[in-house]
Amino acid sequence: MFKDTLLYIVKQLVDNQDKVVINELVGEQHLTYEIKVDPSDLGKVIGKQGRTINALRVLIRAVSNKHGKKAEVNVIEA
Amino acid sequence: MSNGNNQKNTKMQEVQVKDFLMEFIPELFKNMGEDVHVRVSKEIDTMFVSVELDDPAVYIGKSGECLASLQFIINMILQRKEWNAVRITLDIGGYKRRQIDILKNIAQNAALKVRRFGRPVELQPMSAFARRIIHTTLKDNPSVFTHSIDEEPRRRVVVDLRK
Repeated sequence: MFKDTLLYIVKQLVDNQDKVVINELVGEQHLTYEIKVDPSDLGKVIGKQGRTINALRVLIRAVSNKHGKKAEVNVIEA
Repeated sequence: MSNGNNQKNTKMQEVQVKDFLMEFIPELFKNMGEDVHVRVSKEIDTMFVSVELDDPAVYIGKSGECLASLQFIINMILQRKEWNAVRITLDIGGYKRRQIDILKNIAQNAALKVRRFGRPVELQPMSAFARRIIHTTLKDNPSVFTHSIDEEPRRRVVVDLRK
């Protein structure tokens, strides 16, 4: 549902845009997102003390909530 | 001379950032199924970006949490693009404008109280952004001055009588 949104933002944050892959799992009440980026870009998506990934989580949770769903967003090394 | 170059550089970045934001923000919201109207205006130490849409509450969030996250993400992107001279202040549905008005009121009331009772007034803990509004509101006030005490997340402004 918000795969494109995440992809759109994450691509702006990383150096290796073509390495960004987002997996989306749509459940009845849950949305799960797995962001895969190049190892050298991990820090850029996570941010200092996780501030960037947390900001992404807040945003995705907010829009998911609008559609009555809970969302989880995680980052992994590609 | 280098200062002149810096100014020119900043000016150039501001134009680039504005162009980028006018494209990026509507596209971002379109991705989330929203039609938005964006306005960018240059302020003294920030670019004020206001976004208007039908249902702003979702993107403002509890105590402006979602708005703060969006602002953080956008500023992060600007840094990635090496537009380091520019920071944005994001507003959605006029939320921040209202917050600023409330904070200005708090500042003026505290100043009145300090003058009336001749004692310092300690305000509630606030974000760096909120504290800055208090400081700037009272910086030219002839009878009081402001400073901050304690550490995050309990950092707060004290308004005191100018000696």
